Amino acid sequence: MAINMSDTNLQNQDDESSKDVKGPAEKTTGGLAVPERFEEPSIPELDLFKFMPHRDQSDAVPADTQTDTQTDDGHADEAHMTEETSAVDDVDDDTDPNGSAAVKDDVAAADAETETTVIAGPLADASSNATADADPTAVTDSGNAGDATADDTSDVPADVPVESETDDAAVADTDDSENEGVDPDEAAKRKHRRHVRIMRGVVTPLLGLLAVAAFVFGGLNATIWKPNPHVSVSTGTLSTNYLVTDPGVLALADNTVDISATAASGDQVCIAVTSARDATGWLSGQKYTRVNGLDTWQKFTTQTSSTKDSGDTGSVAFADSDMWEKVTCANDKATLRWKGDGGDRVILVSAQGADQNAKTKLDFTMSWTRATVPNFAMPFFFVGGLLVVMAILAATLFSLEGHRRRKKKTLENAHVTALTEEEKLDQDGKPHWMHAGAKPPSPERNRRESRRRHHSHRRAAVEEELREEAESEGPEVLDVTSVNLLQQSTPAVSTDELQEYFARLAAENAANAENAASASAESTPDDATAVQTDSANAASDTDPADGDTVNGDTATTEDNTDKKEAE
Amino acid sequence: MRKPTIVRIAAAALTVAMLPALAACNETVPKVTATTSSSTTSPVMTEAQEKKIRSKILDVLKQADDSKDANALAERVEGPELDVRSSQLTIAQATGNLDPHATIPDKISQTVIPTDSSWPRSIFTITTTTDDQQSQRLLVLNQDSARSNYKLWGLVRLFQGAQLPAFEIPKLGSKMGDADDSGLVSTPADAVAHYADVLQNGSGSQYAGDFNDDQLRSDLATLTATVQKGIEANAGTQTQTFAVQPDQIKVMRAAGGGDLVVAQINSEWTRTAGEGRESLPASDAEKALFGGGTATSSMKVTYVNVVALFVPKSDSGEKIQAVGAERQPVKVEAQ
Repeated sequence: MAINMSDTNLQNQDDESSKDVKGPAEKTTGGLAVPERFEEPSIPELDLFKFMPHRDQSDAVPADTQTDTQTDDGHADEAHMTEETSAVDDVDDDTDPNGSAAVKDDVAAADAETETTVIAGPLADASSNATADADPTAVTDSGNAGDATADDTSDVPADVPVESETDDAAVADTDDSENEGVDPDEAAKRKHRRHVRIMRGVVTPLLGLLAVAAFVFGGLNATIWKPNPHVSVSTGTLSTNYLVTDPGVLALADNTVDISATAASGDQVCIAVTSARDATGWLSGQKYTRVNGLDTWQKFTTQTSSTKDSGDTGSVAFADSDMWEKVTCANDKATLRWKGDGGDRVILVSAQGADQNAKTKLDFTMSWTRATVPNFAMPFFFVGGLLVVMAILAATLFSLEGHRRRKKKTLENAHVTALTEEEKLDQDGKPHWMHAGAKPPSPERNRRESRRRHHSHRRAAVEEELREEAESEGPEVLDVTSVNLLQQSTPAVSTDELQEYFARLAAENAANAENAASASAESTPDDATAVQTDSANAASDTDPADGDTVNGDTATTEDNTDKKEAE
Repeated sequence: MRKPTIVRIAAAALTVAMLPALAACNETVPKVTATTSSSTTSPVMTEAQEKKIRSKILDVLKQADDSKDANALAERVEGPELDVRSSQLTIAQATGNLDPHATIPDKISQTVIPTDSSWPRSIFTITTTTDDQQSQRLLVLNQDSARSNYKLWGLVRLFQGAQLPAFEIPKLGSKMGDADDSGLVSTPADAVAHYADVLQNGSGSQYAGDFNDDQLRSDLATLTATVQKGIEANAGTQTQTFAVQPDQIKVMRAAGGGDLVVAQINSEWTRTAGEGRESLPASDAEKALFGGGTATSSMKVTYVNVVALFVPKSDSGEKIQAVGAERQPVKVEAQ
C-alpha cells in the first residue's frame, strides 16, 4: 500500500538509520495516494528507494507495519489504532483512511512512541476495514513488510506488527503527512501554534518577569539589604558589680572587638581578658552576671549568678592581679580593644565604687566590625540567571516552528512530501527509473526529497500530535484522507501488483517465521500477533542495527528472490 | 504538548516558590560555640605572663635590696624566702653588702608552669648561672589564692653538677604534686623528714641509705667538724637539730615520673662554750644577726634551710637526690 511505503520512508527519515526502503511498490490502495515522504536511507543503495512510488493513502498496512515497529508499543498502538481507524473510516474511506492511518502510523512510528504505533494500528485496521485494498502488509523498511498479505484488511494488523523497526515511525510519519487530509494537518498546526503562543506569550514573559524580580532582589540584597557589618551588642544596666562572658563570646562576630563598660559616675571600672579558670577563681564568692551569647543583634543574653555575695575579699586589687592577660581600668567608662582569636578567654568586668557594697550601674557593650558578611545576593543572581536561560529557551527552543523537532511536523509540509509518480516503486520494489528504459528522476524531485526528509521528522511529530489529539480528545473525526492529490491523479502501482508483492513478502516472512505469517494473516488488530510478526520480521533482519534499512533491503532482496523463484 | 508545558510551568512555579524562601532568609545571630578545648589541662599562664610576674617580683626584690628594707618584701615575697631574704637584708644593713648568695639572675633557663586549676599554684623557674659564676637558682613562685598575686616563696641554689629531672615544656604545662604523692620511693613529705633526720644524724641515720650524697650534707659535715674542733678546744658542745616545717613544701611532678620537692627545714644550732667561755657568733652573718646582743656561754642560731630533693619513682632503683639548698641564719640568740 502506498501508505506503507510512505510510512516506511517517513519512519526512515525520522530515524537516522532508517532507510527509504520501500518494500513492495506501494500503491494507494483505494482512497488517496498518499504523497510519501522519503526518508534518508541509511544505506547508500537504499537511496534508490527514495524514489519509490507514492504511498497509497489507502495503504493502511504500511502505516500499521511501521507502527508495529515499536514492538512494545505495537500492542497498545494497535488498540488505539483500531479506534482511530474506525474514526477514520467514518470520515472517508476514499480519502484513503489507510493513507491517513499510514501517515499517522508514520508519525507514531517515527516517534517510536506508543501513540505512533497505536495510530498505525487502528489505521491499519481502518484501512483494512475501510478499503478492500489488498494492500496490507506494509512494506516496512525492516522488511517486515513481507507480511503483506493478499488480504488487506487482515493484513493491516499484521502489517503493523511486521514493522519491527523503530524506524518505521519515520515512515509512518511520512505516510501520515502524506495521507492526512486538511483536518489533521490543520489540527496539528493549530495545536502547534497554540503551543507556540503559550510558550512565547505566556511562559517566556513570566520567566522573564521572574528573572527581573530575582535580579532586583539580588541587587537589593547587595546594597540596601546588605547585612550590617557593624555589630554592637550591649547588656543593658546590670545589677551586679561583676560581669563575665562565656568562652567564645570574645571573638563572636570577628576577631577584632571593642569592649566598653560604663558604671555610675565616679566608680572605677576595669575590663580584663583572662582565661576562664582564672576568672572563675576571682569570682568565687562573688555575685556576677554571666553573658552567654546574643539574644538579638543588639542585646546579650545574660544570667545572674546565685552566689551569695561575700564581699570583695582579697588582698590584691582587680587591676593588679597577675592573672589577667590584658587589663584596663578607668573611671566611669573603660574600653579595651582585643585583637585575635578568642580561644577560651573570657572578659571580666569589675565596677568598684567607693562603697564596696553599693551597686554600681554597670553597662557592658561589645562592638565588632565584621570583615566578612553573608552574601545573600548571590543566590538571587544565580536564580535570576537560571530564569533568564529558561526564558530564552522557552522563547526559542521550546517553541520551535518544528523545523528541528523530531516530533513536530508542519502539516503544510506534508503535502510537499508527496511522492511523485516517478518515485513510486515498480513492481519489483525498485524505483521506476531504475529499470531499463525508464526516464531518470527529475531534479526537482531531489529538492522535494530533501525537503521531505527535512520535514519527515516534523511530519511524524505532527502526525503524532494529531493522533494524540485524536485519542485524547475522544473520537475526533479526522479527515486524514481528505487530501490525496497524487493518488487521485496517478496511481502508479496498481493495487493488485502491490497486493501480490505483499503476498510474496508475507509468504517469505511466513517461511521465516510461521507465527509472523499467521499473524499477518489475521485481520484483527492483534497486538500480540503484530508483535510477533514484528519480532519475526525483525528476526529476519540481517542487520539489527539498521533494522529498517536492512529489512528494506532484505525485503527487497527477498522480493526479488521470490519473484525469481516464482518465475 | 501538554505534558511538557505543564512540566515547564511547574518548574517555573517551583522557582517562584523558592524566591520568597530566599527573601525570608534572615540573618541569624551568631551562636556562641563553647570551645571545648581542654582548658583543664592547659598551662595556667604563658611564658610571657610568667616573665612579667617574675620581673615584677624581681623589681620588688631589687627595690628592697637597694633600700635594704625588709618591710618592702612582703608584697612579693613569702614563705621561707621571706625569712631568708629579710635576714639577708638585715645582714646587709649591718655589713653594708648584700650577700652574693642573694643574687638572682634576670634570665632563666627553664620554667615549669602548672596546669592545675586550683589554688595554691606554684611555678618552678630555673635561672641561669649568675654573673660571678655561681650556680643556678631555683625559684618557686607561689600564688596562694585567686585573689592574691604570685610571690617568691622559695629560692634554692642548685648544687654544682646537680642533675634536675626533665619537665614538660611550658606550652604543655606540668602537673603539680602533693605532699603525699605515691608511686615514689617515698612520699615527698617522708622524703623531707628523712632528709632532715639524715642532716641531723649524718651517716648514723637510719635513712642515710635512702639518699645520695649531696653538697649540703658534705658542707654541713665539714662545717660541723670545723666548729667541733673549736668547741672541743673549749670543752664546749654543739648540737644541731633539724625540724621540718609543716606545710612548707611544694611539689612539682617531673615529665618522666618522680617529683621535685622543695621544702623548708629549720635547724637550730646550739653551741655551748665550756669552761665559762662565751659562745660568740661564728660568722659575720651571725654577728650581724646577733647585733648588739650579749653573748653568753650558749648561743643558739636558727637557720632556715630550703632544700630541693628529687624523689624518683619507686621502680627506678635510684635514691633520693638533693639537688639544691639554701641555708641562712635567721636568728641568733644567746641562751
